[in-house]
Amino acid sequence: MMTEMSTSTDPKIAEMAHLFRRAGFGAAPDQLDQALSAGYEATVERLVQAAASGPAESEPALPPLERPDYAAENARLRGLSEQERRQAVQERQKKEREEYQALHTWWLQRMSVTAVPLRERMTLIWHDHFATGFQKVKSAAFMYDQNELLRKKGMGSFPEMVQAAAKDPAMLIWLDSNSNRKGAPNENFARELMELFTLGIGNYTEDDVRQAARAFTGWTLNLQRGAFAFNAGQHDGDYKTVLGKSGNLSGEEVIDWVTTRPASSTFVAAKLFRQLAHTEPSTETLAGLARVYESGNRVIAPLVREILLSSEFRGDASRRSLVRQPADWVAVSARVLGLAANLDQVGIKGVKGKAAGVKVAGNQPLLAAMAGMGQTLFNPPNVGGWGQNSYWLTTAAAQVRLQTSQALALAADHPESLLEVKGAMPGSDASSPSAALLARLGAPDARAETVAALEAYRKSAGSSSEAVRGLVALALITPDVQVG
Amino acid sequence: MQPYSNSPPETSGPPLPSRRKVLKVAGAVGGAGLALGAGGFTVSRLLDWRHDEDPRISERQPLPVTTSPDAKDGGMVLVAVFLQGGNDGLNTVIPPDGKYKDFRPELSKETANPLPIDNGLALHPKLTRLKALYDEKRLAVVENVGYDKPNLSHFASTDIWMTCDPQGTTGSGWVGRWLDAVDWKGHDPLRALAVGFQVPRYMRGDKTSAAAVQGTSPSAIPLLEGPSGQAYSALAGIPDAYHQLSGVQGNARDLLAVRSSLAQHQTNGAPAAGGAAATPGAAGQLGPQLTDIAALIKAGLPTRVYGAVLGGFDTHAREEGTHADLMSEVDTAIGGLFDSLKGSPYADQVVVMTFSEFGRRAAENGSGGSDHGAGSVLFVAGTPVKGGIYGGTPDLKNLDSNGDIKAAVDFRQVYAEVTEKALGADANEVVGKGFAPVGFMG
Repeated sequence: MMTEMSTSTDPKIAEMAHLFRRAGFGAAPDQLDQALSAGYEATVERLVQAAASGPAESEPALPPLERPDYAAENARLRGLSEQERRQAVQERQKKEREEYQALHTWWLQRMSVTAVPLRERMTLIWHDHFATGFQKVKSAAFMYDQNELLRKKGMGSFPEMVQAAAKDPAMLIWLDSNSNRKGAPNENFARELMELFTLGIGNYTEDDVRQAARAFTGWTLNLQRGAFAFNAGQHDGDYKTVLGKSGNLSGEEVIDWVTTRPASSTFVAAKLFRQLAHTEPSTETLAGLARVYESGNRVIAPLVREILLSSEFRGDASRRSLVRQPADWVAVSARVLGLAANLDQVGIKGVKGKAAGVKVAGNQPLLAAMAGMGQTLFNPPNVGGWGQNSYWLTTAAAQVRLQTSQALALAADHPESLLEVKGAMPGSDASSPSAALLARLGAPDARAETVAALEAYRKSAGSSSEAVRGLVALALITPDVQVG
Repeated sequence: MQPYSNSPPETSGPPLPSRRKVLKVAGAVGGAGLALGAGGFTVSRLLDWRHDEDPRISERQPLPVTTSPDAKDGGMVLVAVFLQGGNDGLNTVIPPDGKYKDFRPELSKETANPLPIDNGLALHPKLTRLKALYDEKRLAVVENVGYDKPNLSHFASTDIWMTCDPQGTTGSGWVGRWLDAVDWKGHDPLRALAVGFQVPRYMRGDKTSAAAVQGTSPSAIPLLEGPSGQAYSALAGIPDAYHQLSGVQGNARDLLAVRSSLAQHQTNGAPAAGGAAATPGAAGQLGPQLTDIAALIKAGLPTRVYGAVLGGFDTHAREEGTHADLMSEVDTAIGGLFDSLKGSPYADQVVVMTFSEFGRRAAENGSGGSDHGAGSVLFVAGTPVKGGIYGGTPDLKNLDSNGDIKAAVDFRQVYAEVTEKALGADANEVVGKGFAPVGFMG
């Protein structure tokens, strides 16, 4: 099978490039070089260790994010006249949007400059998993806090991460946990906890949802402190049965129980496999991964390591099997094209309106582009997160990717340096300037036909600055760079 | 939960048994005729494709004007509006039952002055345009729509409504199957259009998929011209593409076909799509979508099915206010669509249908909202529609074991009727066998 897929590239280079596309955002040529010297297994080990226990990063600087005393704010608003209140609300909303945009740009910049790419990759995976959206949460500070929580805990114990995520203010708002009252609980959090976060459909009943909902009553968000608070008066502490466990179960006990069910192991394994390897794992594969997860005490790092070292990940089945998410593609482009610093100025200009639930003004080109491609960070379309593969491949999105590709290429810093054949490939010169460009974009294993198409363009378009940027735009839009 | 996407995540969820397990990815707009495996080793051979010879853009026929609903192919245009999150049917069309207030002491306050129609039912106070359509006998209120053994998961129930398969083993959506059923060769890729970035599952078939259009006029893209355009075409046709390389290439071919087709319709003298005046009061997210759709219909695009979506219906908490805003948005947008179409030769061919993955529980919860339910109401509006009330009234004395409304009309009956009468296609193939029409298309 390998011969059908092989390019003229050395299979070891292809394999390593594949690893870096999945466990990060592509490798720069010198990183690829080092990794090849160290070998595949050692590289996986290094990547996993860095993500699990590397020091926190501070680049880029976090934009200022307001953390108001919401209780005081709301009280102040109530004291205003109708007109004043409307104005104050408008001002607050404007500030919220500006903060949202700044935070959105911040994370894309972080993905493009990070020295710990697997950690950012895992944070993105967990953001998709515990999908929570700014358009309801309405606080960039809360969204950032959740992001940091996922970053810090993303390679650690999964049950612990769920406990923390459940009480995270953004989540409390998103799934209405902040107003869950004894006697008539709302089922939102209890349902999504089981369906989407821990067990999956078919592994719990409607009765379990109803009983679990009772356990989460009394959970609330203290608006003054912007933190979880427990209102004992609203908590239903009575006898309940969830998935066969009975008692006066608290919310924490329910979470502990659901995250330690065997079905949860398979569920978590499946989620990570689909995000890292390919979207159709076999039952056997998942059973094996579930065993590793359980014997590793439900810690994520060993599971990730196991996936990355598996023959299924390294071989044909996973090769070129995941379409790059828009954030991934933009992060790679920003890094390689030297755009991180002014990233929020790159994108589709002149687009206004509400896109993906977020209001986009005409001067927010990057946000407009991401919305058009279907991925506004910190604002997934629903609690199920984003989809995969053909989810991204609509004609509307394809058009926006083209337009964004042009914009990225136009803004690139010294693009002609990307065509330099020396230093683009490990161990040898690249076969052509186009091959060099593709290699730097994370595809040293680009197909011969892809390189040929770009070379044909380069030869007919010449070497003007405009032609070089045209080549860069084309390279960004090749299937070999669109696919991870 | 606030706004949803049109389609549930394709491959998230439990491994096996998975609703998504057998999904064959439909990436081809208008039918490039190749099934793209979602994971397995599928290689496409495309030695002969050239954009300028793509048979999908050979047709240049605008939408025919027809006023005869009796024609085998009714020639109508269906505008499907997905109300995502689970629209609260009991607060959309208020039942006459005294138990309504018992179940909903708080939520019934919001519907205090509803707009009476017939049979004791009344529309939510904000649905003034729909009320006017009802008075003109152009609105069908279809009550108690759902399916047997309701599933209360957003994703599972959305899948069921979109694929018509409660077992969860079908990957294709019903409009997608309509696209598949018609011979794709030479058919305009614009036959079905989703407005916005996403193509929802109901518009994806096994072989073909609706196109997605954002905004109405294709802006010029320099990269698609000259030598770079040739390179783009070359990249879109690389043979032996595998896995998602094949998917991306198909996507590129589809984009080229859609752009060419849209451009065709503009050069045919049809008014430039996108030139329509904004629908008055078009706020939020649905108004702009229906504004675009009206413009595309007026431009004579051969599109027979348009898909729009409005999220935010998952009102577990603080439903009052939120639901009223949504009702207002839906009402204004649909009213605005018909306003925009006034005077167009196509005005009387348009049928608007709303749908949602489930209704909401009869009893409100303690958070001022309601949880996931089952049976609910949907609307079908337009000149070809025989206005009135179908499906009975909600029976609050006979709820199911979860405390939800039982379905009296299977949603597939609604689809079957629309498929036969509006699209002129075989409901057996598109929706499934044995779904008797409800009667709202006469």
